[in-house]
Amino acid sequence: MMKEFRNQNYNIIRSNYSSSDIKIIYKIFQKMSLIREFELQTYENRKKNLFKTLIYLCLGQESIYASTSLALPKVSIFGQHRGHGIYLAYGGKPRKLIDELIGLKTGTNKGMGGSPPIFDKKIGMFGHIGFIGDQVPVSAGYSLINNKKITISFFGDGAAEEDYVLATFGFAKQYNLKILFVCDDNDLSVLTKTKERRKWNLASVAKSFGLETVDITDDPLTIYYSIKKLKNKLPALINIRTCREYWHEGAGIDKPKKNYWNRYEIVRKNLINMGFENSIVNLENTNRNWAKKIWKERLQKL
Amino acid sequence: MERTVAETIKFLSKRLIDSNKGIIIGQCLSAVGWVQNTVPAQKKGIVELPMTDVAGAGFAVGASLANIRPIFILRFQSFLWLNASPLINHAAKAKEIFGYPAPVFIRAIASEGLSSGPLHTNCYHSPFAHMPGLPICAPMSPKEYSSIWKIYLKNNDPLLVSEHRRSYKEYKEFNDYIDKKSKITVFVISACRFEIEQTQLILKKKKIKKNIYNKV
Repeated sequence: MMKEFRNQNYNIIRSNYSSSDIKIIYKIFQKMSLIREFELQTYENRKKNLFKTLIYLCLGQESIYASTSLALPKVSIFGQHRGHGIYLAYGGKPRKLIDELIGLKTGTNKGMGGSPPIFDKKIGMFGHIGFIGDQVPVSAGYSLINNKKITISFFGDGAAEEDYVLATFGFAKQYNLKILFVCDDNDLSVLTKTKERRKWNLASVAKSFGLETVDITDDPLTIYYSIKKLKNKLPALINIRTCREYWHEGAGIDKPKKNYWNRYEIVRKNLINMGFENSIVNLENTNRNWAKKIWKERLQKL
Repeated sequence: MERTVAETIKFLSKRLIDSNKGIIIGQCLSAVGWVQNTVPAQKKGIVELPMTDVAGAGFAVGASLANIRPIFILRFQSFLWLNASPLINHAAKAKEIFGYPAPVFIRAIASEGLSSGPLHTNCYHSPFAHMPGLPICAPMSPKEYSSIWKIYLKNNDPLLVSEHRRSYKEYKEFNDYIDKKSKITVFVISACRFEIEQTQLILKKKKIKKNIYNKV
C-alpha cells in the first residue's frame, strides 16, 4: 500500500527566498487575496440565503489557481465544479460570475447552473457539465487538435478515481499531448477521505502511464516553479496537496481536520515577516471593499 | 458513378479529412476491413483510440470543441451505453449551456446475424431520441446518407447516426408508398426497410391496403 503524505511542507522547494521569489510570491498573493475576498462574500451572501443555486467554494485552495495562472497565463483551460478560483485567476469577469451564481440571465451560463458550468471563452476557459472528471478526456480531445497551445485540465482527487480520467493519461502519452493535468488534492470526496477510497497514489499511477509527475504541497512558489519545469515536459501531472476550508457545497465550514493547514494564512504571515504588512493590509481592504461592492450591486438586480 | 452506402460513407469521410476539416476517431479502425470498408485506408486524419469507452467519447467531444468535425465510430451500437455520457451530457448540451457547439458525428453501427442476437444487434433510436440536443437519424441508402451528411455540415449540432451493416453493400433507394384507400400505415426504420417488399407481398395476399413511410 502506498503511504500518502500530507502536510504543509510536503516536497516544498525552499523557504529561503531570493528577491525575484518574493516578487513572484507577492504577485500570486494578490490573486489569492482577490479570490479569497470574492469567495468570502459569496459565502456570506449564500449564508444569508440571498441566493440558492449550487455553489462550490474554493476557499483554502486559492494558491493553486493563483500560482498556475501566473506560471502558465495563456492556455486553454478545463475546470470542474469548484472553479471560481480558476475563473477569477485567469481573468474572468467577476460580475458575470456573480450573475451566474444568483441565477441572472447575464451570468456566464445565463444563470442556469450555479458554480459547475462557469466558463469564459475569452480567457480560454471551457465549461463543465457537472460530472466530476468529465472534462479530463474532453480536454485531451481538445488538446489533440489544438496542439499549438498548452491545455490545462483541473480536477480533484475524487475525480482522479474515475476510470475515464485514468484512461486519459494513457491517451495523452500515446499522442504526446501538450497538456498539464492539475489535481487539486484536498483529500476529500465530499467528506470521504482518500485513504477510505483507494490504496494507490495518483502521481505514481500517472507516472506508470508515462507522464512526468510531481507531488507537492500548495506552496505558491513550489507550484510556480514545478509548473515552469513541467511545461517543457508535457504531458504531465501535478498533484497538489491542499486543504478545503468550507463545505463541499453550500455555505458552511467543515470541522477542523487532522493535518489541516491554511495556506492563505501561511503565505500572508510569511509576507508580513518579510516587511509587507502595510501593502497586504491595503490589498486585503481594497479587495474586500471591491467584493462587497460588486456583490451588493449585483444582488440588487434580483 | 453509383456508390454503395459503404462507399458513400468512405467518400464523404475522405473528403472531410482531405480538406483538413475533420478526423475519424474510434477503436480498431485500421483493423481488418477498415470498419466494413467505410473508412479510408490511410493514416492521415485517423485517430486510433485505446480501448477506453467513456473516455473515448470524451476525446471525440473534446476534438469537436477545437473547430473541427470529428467522426466518432462505435463499431457496435451497443457500445453507445458506455459512451453515452460525454455525448449526451457534454456534446448535446454544449450549445444550450455554454453557447458553443460540439459538432461530433457519431456513427453507431448495428448488425444482425452471427448468433449475436442478445449482444450486439441492438438499435437504440428510441432511448437516444429522448435526449435533447442530439438529433438522430438512420440512413439506409446512399442518397439518404449524403443528405444527412449535408444537414450535419450545414449545422453545428452533434448527430447520432444509427447505421446498419446490412445497408453497406446496398445501392438501393427507397420510396414511400401511399394508397388513399389504405387501412393501415406502416412506418419503417433501419434494416427493417429491407424487409418491406416482403411485408408488402404478405399484406397484398391478405388484401390489406396500406401506406408505407420510410423513416430516416
